Amino acid sequence: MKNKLRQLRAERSWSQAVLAEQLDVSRQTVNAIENEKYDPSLPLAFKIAHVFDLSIEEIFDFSEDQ
Amino acid sequence: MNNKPEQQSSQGDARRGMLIGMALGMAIGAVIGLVFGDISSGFIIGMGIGAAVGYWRFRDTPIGMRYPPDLVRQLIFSGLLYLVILIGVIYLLENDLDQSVQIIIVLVPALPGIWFLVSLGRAIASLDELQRRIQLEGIAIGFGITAMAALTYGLFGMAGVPQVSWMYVPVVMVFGWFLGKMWTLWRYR
Repeated sequence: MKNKLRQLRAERSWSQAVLAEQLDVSRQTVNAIENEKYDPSLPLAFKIAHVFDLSIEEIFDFSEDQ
Repeated sequence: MNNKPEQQSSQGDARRGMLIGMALGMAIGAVIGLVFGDISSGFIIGMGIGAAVGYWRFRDTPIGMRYPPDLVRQLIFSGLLYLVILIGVIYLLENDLDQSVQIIIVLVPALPGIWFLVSLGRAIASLDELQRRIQLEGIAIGFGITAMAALTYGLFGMAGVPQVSWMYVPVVMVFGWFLGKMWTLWRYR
């Protein structure tokens, strides 16, 4: 699934480690989501949306994956 | 931006890489030791090479497994305790003991074994969702490798190749698990 995680993180000048700490996941998981190798679970997607203060749809683009 | 967490993580990754390398090297060393008939040298050489390769491979590459330190200590201690007790039990069984005593003795390694399994379960449960998936896929691949290796070697046995002890099945299983884990880690990198 396409997402804007890397772009949003860069806008806030956060490292992957900083974002990972906020999401309570590993840096590897953040990296895998950014590289679109892994789609997060719904609870993690909500957590990501909460951290960036955006809606899930604003971060993840499901339509391009269909 | 403070990059201290990155540095700490990189050092941790190198340490974990060394541990994985040592474990992988131990499994490879056991196989090499089996072939050349000197399993202890195989273990030591395999662990050394594995630790060096693990350090070199992961010093800059995050592998990111985040086991709580107390669980890592429990895993290492219970695993070492299991190995020490196992060696002791094998030594005792080589002596002429009463069968009832032997039956009690062979059950002793199960105690640290259970402790190891409980710690392993808790360690995997403590991981995040991607890491749990990586472990699960690694275990599934390891299970497949073990099943295929056992069946293939069983067929070799029918062709007249000498049988090996079933005690080496766990060694193949651990080796397969690490191979599977490495493959899955690479896939999600």
